[in-house]
Amino acid sequence: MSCRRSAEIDLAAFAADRHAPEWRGFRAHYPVCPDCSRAVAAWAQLHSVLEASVAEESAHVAEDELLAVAADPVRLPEARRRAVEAHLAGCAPCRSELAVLRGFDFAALGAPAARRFAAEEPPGWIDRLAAALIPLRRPAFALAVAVLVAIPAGIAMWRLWQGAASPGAPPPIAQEEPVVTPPAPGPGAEPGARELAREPAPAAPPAPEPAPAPVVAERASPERAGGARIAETPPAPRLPAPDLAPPAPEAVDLAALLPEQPPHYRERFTVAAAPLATGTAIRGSIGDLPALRPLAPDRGGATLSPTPTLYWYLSEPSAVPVELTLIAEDAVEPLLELRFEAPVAAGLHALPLDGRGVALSAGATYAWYATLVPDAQHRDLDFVSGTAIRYEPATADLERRLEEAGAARRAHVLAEQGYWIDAFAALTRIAQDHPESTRARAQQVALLEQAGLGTVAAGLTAPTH
Amino acid sequence: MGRGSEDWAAVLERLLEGDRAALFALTRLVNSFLARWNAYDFRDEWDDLIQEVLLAAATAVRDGTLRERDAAFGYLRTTARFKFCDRLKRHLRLAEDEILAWEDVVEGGLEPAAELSDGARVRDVRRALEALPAVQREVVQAVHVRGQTYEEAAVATGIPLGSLKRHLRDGLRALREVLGSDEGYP
Repeated sequence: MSCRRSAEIDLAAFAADRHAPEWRGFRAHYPVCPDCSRAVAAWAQLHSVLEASVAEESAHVAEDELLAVAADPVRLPEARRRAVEAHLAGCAPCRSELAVLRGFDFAALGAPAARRFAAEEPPGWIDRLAAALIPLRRPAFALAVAVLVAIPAGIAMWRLWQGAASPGAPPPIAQEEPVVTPPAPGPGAEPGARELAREPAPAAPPAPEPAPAPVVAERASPERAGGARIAETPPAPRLPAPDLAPPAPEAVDLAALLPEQPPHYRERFTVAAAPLATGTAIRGSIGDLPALRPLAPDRGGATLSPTPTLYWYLSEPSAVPVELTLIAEDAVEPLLELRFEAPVAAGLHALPLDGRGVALSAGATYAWYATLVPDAQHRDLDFVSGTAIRYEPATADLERRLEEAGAARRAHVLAEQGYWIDAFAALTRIAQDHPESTRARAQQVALLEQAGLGTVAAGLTAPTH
Repeated sequence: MGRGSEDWAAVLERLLEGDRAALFALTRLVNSFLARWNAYDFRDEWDDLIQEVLLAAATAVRDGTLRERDAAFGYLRTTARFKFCDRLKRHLRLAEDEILAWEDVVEGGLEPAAELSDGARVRDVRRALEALPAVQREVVQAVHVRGQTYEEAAVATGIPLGSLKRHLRDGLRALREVLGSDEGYP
């Protein structure tokens, strides 16, 4: 034995806590050292023996139950479903299996025409594959609120009735948050007014230019804003975008340090059971209204910050006001309401919650809406697009991994761990700081596509004017 | 019957037909390989790795490059091993042609759990587990049997994280002493 390293350390302690920072050196050493590999193998074998010793007792979720959970959890009796969910919450191997069951790309297998072992082509293969794939798609859920379905449908019908034309060329992309100015007090803007004060919308110009200074009205929930009554508050000053990534030293070109591969988003938190608003209304322009979308995966996005930076996207300059609303599930009053008076610039907009006197509660789900308001007197004509977010505090392990990852790999770790909101914010910050970086932009786009936001991704890659 | 004696070629064929039960069986098989190979340095990448292995094996069946039915299990295991070692090298920032000593361990030293899960050995391990102080047994089972992370185990057992790691270390050490390495145990 030429290497004494494994004999000089407490291997039991290593086996018990291999991810601890003090083992970093040994973790990198033993796989390339024959002596230490053998020493660690003995402990790995112990793990294998322990696992095998209970294999007959079926410590993990049974096949049929995991398949049912992957396909449609409601097929399981409620009590059993809860038991399985409780097991999954604490069992990494079963979570891995569930992730594969949900995410396996059957389409990548292609047609099985040349199968080596099959005696004959099974009839109806495509039908069976389709049947197998359908349950893998995300099921519909209760969070689809009837009014959110009705509003886009009403808008669509209204636009059809007007004979509106389809949208034109891709819009210019604004990478900056619109410059905001203090709100002009209006008739309904007194502190304590029940409704969010709104400036009368100006007559919509036929071809509005991006606005340098839209008027913004903001309302924060009283219980979240130091007990103040509902009031129109001055807009938050322009805040530095994403608060999560540590500030990059000037000398470091983070874009150049980004990993070659884009981040891989994994849905690890079920934030919302379904998109809050669905249909063509949230994916493209309706009539002469631009497409508006709060950015998060279609089943919602998780954040590890109580005050994350959220993003929303407008495909074209809007001649009508835009409202942003953040409201906790089951809450009556919104946590935050913002109104941008027209015209509103097209592009990607940041909404940092930090500094606005609001904070998300851990584990609570918030609906996040972006609304185009074509007629303030007829709110049934609003165009609403919704998603959901949830604050899931990071575990100590994740915090350590983020620290180890550094700023350039931060988005990758966050995406991997299901924190799409923060991963996108981290990447967007790099893309904004390094507009010349095609890699940063490509990874930003990849993350959007993985979240089902292909339309937004296409908008970001369209040539700018 | 051990996992190696199952007709994995048939399972792969069913996977090609979109059979999700086959996907489950294959996933659990590759999952068990990774657990045995101590692939915990990138635990959160397992589902990706499993998918890569299954796609490669199913494609080999589809294209006829896997010619012997009996070779399916070996093909799955070897493919998983190659992909695991590639990923481990990437994590260690090793060049592709650098020697990875752990690969030898994976290849020959850690046998399938099924071969350990019969008869006297299982009884010995269970007896050794039962002989542990309750708190040590609880954390060993949480982490090494149920596969919980330390944080998850701490929440599930109500034991503070630092204490949990200490109990785990002591429990593993006691198990090794009880089981010994001279009788074929680790």
